Order: sequence, then C-alpha cells, then structure tokens
Amino acid sequence: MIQAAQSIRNKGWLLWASGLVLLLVISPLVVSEFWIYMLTDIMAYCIFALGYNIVLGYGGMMPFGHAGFYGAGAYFLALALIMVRMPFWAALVLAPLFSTFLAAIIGFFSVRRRAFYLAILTLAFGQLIWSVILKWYSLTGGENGITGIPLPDVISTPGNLYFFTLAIAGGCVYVIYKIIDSPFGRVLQAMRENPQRMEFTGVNLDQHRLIAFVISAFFAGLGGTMHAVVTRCVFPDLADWAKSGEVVITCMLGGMNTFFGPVIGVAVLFFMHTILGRFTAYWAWILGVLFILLVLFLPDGIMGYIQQSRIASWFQQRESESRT
Amino acid sequence: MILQVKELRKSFGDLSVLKGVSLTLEPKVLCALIGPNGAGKSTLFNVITGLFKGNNGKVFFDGRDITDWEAYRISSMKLSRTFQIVSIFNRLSSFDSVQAALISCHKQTLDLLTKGKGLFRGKVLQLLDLVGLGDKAYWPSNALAHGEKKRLELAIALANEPKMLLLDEPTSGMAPDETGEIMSLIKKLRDEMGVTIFFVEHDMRAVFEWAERIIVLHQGAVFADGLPMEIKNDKRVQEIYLGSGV
Repeated sequence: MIQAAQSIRNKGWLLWASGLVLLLVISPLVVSEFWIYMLTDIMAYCIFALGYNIVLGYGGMMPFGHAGFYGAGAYFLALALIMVRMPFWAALVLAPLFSTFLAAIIGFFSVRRRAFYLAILTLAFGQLIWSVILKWYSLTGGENGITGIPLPDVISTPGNLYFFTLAIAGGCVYVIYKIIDSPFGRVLQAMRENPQRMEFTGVNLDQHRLIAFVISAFFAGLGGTMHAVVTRCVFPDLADWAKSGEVVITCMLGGMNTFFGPVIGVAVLFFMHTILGRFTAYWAWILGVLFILLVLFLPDGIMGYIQQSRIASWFQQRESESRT
Repeated sequence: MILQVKELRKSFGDLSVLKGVSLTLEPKVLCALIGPNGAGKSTLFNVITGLFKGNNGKVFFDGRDITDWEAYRISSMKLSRTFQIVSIFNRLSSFDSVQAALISCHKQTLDLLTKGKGLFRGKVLQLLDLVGLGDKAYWPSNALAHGEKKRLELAIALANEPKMLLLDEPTSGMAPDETGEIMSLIKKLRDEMGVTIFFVEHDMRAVFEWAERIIVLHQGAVFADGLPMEIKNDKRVQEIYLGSGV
C-alpha cells in the first residue's frame, strides 16, 4: 500500500515537473522581452536561494552573510572580464570558485559558533566583503558599480541567455537535489534535528557544517555570477546585508524545509517587486506584512504547509485503514 | 577489560560530582550502575562518552586512553550511548534516523555522490525489527509513543555497531511489560552480538532481575561493587539507597 501510494506520488511529481519544464521552455516564445529578462533573473536568484537553503533548511544554520558570496561572485566575473580580459567561460567557472574560497576561510571561523553567534559572525564577514566592494573605488567603482559586462555572442540575445540560464539553473537544481539525497545530505538533516545525537554516532559536526557552508557559498557565488551575466552590471547592494536578509525571507516564505520552497519564495519576491512595485514604492511593506502573517500562521512556509497537509492526510488514511 | 576508569573527578564550580571514581568492566558483561539521585551516575556516563571533560583521572576503552577525546571520536571507537531524556531526530522518520547513524558507522558521511534513498535499507529494517519498530519505519519520530522513542534511540545507538553500550535509564517511563521486553532485548544484544552493556536504572526489579553485576555509586564515588545477591544483602547499600523494604 505504501509503495503504491509512493508510486502515485512520484507520478504526480513527474507530471508537475514535466509541466514546469514545458512551461519554462515555451515561455520565451509567448511572453514579452521584459518577462524573458525577469524570468532569467529569477532563475539566477533561484540558484542563490536553493544553495542558501542547504545550510538554512537542511543544515539548521542561519548564516547572515551569504550576500557577500553572491556579490563576490558577481564582482569577480565583472572584474575578470573588464579589467583582466579573461575569457568569458573561464571567468564563469572561476567566479563561484572565488566565492567558495572566501567561504572556506570565513566558514572555518564561523561554523564553530552556533545560532546567534554564527549569524552575527557571518554578518560581520559579509559586511566586510561589502565594504571592500564599496570603498575600493579604483577597483570596483564604488557606488557606481561596474556596467557593460561583455557577453559572448552565443548568449547575447535575450532568448539565448534565457535558455543558457535555464540550463545552468536546471543543472544546479539537479546537483543540489543529489547533494540533499546523498549520504552527506541525510547526515546533514539529522544534524539539523539533533546535533548532539549525531555527534554520538561519530560525526564531526564542525567539519560537516563547514562543508555544507562552503557548498552553499558556491551556489551563492554562482547565483551572483549569473545575475551579473543577466543584468550585465554589478553594484555594491549585491553584497549588502539587506540581500542576505532577503534570501532568508525567500527561503522562509516558500518553505525552508522543502526542496522547492525557496523557488516559490523567489517567485513571490519578484512578483511583489515587479507587479506591486508598479503601483506603490512601498511594496516592501506589503512583503513585510505578508512575511509576518506567514511566520504567525504558516511557519513552515507555503510549500511546507502543502507538505504538512499531505502528511496529515497520509496519517488520516492510515488511521481509517487500521479501523476497517 | 574493555573499560577502565581511574580516579575520575568532575566538578561544576564548587560542586564536586565525581570524587575519584575507579572501576573496570570486562567484555560482554551486563552491568548496572545504581545510586541515589545526585550520586553522579549520568555525569560519569557523560564524562566517559566525552560530553563533559573530566577535571582529573583517566578513561581507557578497548585498550586506548580516551580521556578528553571529542565525543565523536569516542563514538567512532564503537562506544555508543543513549540519554536519560530521549534524544532522537524529531522530524525524521525512524528509517531515516537509523540510516543516518548507519551512514556514520560506515564512514560515508562525506559521500556526496551516492544515492542516499534506500541506502542500507535491509540493515535499517533489520534494526527497527529488532527493537520492535518494523511496522513504524516510515513514521515521523515525533509521532511515536514515549516507549517507542526509547526503542528508536536504542536502534540509533545499535546502528553504530557498538562494542559497548552505555544506557542511561533505558526503561524510564515504560510500563512493566515493556520494561521486561526492553531488558530482554538488551540481554539478547549481549548474548547474540557480544555487546558489553553498562546501564543506569532506577527500577530495582529490573536491575536485580537482569544485571549480572551491580556497581553502586554514592556521593561521587564507588560505594559497592558485586553480584546482585551481594548488593542486595549489603546492609550499607540498603541504608543509603534501597531502604529497609528490600
């Protein structure tokens, strides 16, 4: 019975996934150029959010400086292409690796601390990256940022860039899913639930936290890199603490304990920014109110609520089966 | 011997909880640790397993000096434990909980490439069957009853394939029937798998029925050590702990 239910669930997911892929593939053919651009940027941000959720949702940590890695990836790409004139594809690979390198250093000092202290320490490191970007004017252009990032011809049209980003984001979804489902991912989830219990099965907590932190920073860096590719410009806000807070909100809004929750969160964020932003400059207030309501009434986020309902119905079904 | 504790001392501020505990355990023994509240039983377990650092003294396990080792290193030596207050992975299923412990036991915690779903399935279900949770393998751990959570914690500890198990009140909060079942299971682990068992227990019936050796801890030091009948007939032990009714 359980296997049959599992099979139906899997088929349901397969159907949903197929529909989503189809929708994403045909979207550029039916929507305006503005929306192609928006969807491309959303996909870039999804890489950041899904990567961050490795530590937040699956690792039970809340670092507050991931925008530093997002910004570092974006700036590395911009500087490598404009200042160093590095080949685009080399810069694309090296930019997230630069964020990963920074995360290894920052993580080494930070993951030994727990909860509040981890958040504050990573916030401080994140702001350090932001202040370097802001103040090192001769290199980064300070508040003016860097514009006119050159792209290779093959991805210079909106449609091609869209499909290129879709392929990168799709690859990231696959890799992150594999990481979550790997033995490492499963141990990480157990650590989230009860670190002490996991330590008493022989797991070095700090080592595993550091690896999760570094992996998530890689995806944050790649998200930032892709954002720079999509928008062709970078500004210090990308590394600001507000951006770090934003990614926490997207994960919690969508449901940090679900795989696709952050994607829903990003979609809500962009929708509010784009649609509500047309009518009011105070769209962030509405987002704030929505966030408060969600924390109060749907603490597991949108996808989390749906998942909890499914689990509850599974239990009800089991109960009714046991009665008959 | 598998475990040797030498003159172990532990203080919390001015409060001296362990005042020079020394004991040795032979392999495959089923030994109970008893004593009045505050005697230092749980603290002794916590220092042996690396949760607390002792102030003085030595702990040897399986021929190695494990004094001041990190808890995860001690666990890797196949010394497992359970806690007085049940300690499980609340939002994981029983299956996932035991699987995570098995992944750790098989040193695959850094494996990012293997598919995790279904990994060690046979072994996980075997362990859950052993503790009587085979039919609730996919239930979230927090939906289990108290006794079932204790069983799950035992399965998690067993997934480490331990040479020795330290059980802190394994039957607390259980009905008499269930206590018998758990103690019978613990004896089976010793008999069939050769696991050395060292357990703290307040249920004196269970202690005298199942233990082969009893160590009495009183005011942070070993007060008596012997066979159940010897402890039962020791007037000093009766005075400090058991009461005249025994």
